[in-house]
Amino acid sequence: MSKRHFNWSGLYLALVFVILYAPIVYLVVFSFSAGTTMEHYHGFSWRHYADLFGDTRMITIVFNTIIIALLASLIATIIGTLGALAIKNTRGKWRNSLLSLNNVLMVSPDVIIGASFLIFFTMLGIRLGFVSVLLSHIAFCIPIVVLMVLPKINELSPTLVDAAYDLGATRWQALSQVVLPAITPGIGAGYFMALTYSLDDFAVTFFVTGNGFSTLSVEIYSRARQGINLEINALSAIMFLVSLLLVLGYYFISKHGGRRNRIVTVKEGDAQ
Amino acid sequence: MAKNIMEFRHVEKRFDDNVVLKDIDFTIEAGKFYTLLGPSGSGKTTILRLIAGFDQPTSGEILFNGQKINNVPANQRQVNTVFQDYALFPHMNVAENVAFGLQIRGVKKAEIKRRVQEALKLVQLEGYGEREITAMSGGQRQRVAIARAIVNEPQVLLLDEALSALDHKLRVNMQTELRQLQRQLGITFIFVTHDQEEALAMSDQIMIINDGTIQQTGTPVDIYDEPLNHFVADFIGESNIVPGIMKKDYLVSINGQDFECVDAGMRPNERVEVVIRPEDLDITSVEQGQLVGTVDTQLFRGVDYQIMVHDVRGHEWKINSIHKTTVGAQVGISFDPEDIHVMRYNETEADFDARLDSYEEDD
Repeated sequence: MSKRHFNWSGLYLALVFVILYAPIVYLVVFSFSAGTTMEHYHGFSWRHYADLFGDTRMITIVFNTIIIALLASLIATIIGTLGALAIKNTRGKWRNSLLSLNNVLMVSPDVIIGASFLIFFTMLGIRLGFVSVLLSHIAFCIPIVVLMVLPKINELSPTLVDAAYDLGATRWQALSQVVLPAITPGIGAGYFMALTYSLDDFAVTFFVTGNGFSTLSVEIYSRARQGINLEINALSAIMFLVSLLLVLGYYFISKHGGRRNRIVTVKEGDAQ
Repeated sequence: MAKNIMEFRHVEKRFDDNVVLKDIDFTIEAGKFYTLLGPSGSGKTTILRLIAGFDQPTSGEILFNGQKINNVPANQRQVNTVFQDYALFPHMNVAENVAFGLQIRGVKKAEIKRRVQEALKLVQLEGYGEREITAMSGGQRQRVAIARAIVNEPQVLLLDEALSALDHKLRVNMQTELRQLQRQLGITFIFVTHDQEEALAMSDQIMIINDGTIQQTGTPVDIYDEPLNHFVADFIGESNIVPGIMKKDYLVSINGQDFECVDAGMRPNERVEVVIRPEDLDITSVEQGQLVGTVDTQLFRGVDYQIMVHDVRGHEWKINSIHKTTVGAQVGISFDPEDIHVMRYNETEADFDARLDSYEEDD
């Protein structure tokens, strides 16, 4: 009678994870290979890591990417949060129209957005480079922030602001001391989402990077076209490790750190 | 003589084309417990929002201590509100919530601490200051909301359906506590509710509101015993309302049968409505009853039985009695002249008061 049923769902789950992680594991393993191709493993070596840290162009690009991501998501968070507040305060059909305009940007293909930015910047005579990449990243991050913050605002009781006024607060005090602190988890989630979108964006960035400026995804793409370089594997392995640590850190903070026990779900998996 | 703290003069409020309040006129005396009572959509919450300053009247004047305050914003009024959903700030703990108003006004830290503790003590939440709002029960949140309002020492405290989210037992307890608190603090409370029991139990003065107008203002006893019109009689308490004809002063005819009553001042043979409260009707023997009827149903409700009797003329009477009867039995119904209250159709409150004064002086 104690014959156990075979656990099909467990097997399925394991299979999914294997398929998802196998390419990454494969890539990481070859980053330690002494050889220069991924056809055969040639024994353990740190040489690709040494190459990577000696490659100043690559290091510069890594920092460029991080600066763009941090700046773009910060600015997008500010604009997006204010935008979400404005959408919430808009009445009637205008509110839905605004929200739809926001969502259209989320679903429209990156290629289209990238191409239109390229045309837009050339038309305005903005030189392609740091500024154009930053502006376009801010632009495509704003809708993400709006979508993350808006539900938090909708959760707030409409009388909360009235209560703040009632207790003597000015409009600014009501916003800074009541509304913003109450939606901070949503703002934080929006910031992280924007960060991950900015970090791994390829399609939009591809159009608006100029000659002297590049981000990681674009650089890796152009190098991969010229043949596999295991330096890229080393870089990918490091980035994978960093994002893993970020996820673990986030998990730890949300589980033990938060005084208010508020847990926000943020998809960190995109950052690699 | 208590001084008037607040006055509405011909206040009207429209939202677009929708008239929510029509010609509202009243005065509020300092230190009393007022209740705005009416069904949902009657405009009672709008009156509260006008007092608090969240909305501005379309026309008319609102006076506070004799000063017109129509355009004084909410954050500059000496009025605080307890909201229906409490509107506590979720990112602050209990003490921070209560301290918010004082902190905004730049009160010194030591004083804030002292006053917050005092306020928490008043609502019996001593020692709960460090708790998170999410860790508090509904009744406790209610108290936090009250503490947050009274800590600012407002001249008027507004309570918007403040007890309706609590369960029945807690609500009854809070009614007593609110009443005590109001006496203790001596400030004016304006309480909005649709629950007539709550209004009767707590108030010094009740304003009955329907359809954007004040139907009747008075003490709970006045309103219960002498409702002005059909709406008030029906809304407050349970009642038997039957059409009648006022033959002459102190004599009313119901379904062709004459009864002595204590009302007067109407035209002879005027068509009127007669209110008799179910608890004023007694079941007696057929011989002793002024009306005779058959018991249709009997409902045990804990404190009493609700008995439905239809009389020989086919009219249904609702009777609340602590004595049991038998369904299907022939019984008599008896009542005294004082139990009858006669209402004229379309009488204004001013006319009603004048009429009452005119014949009560004669007695």
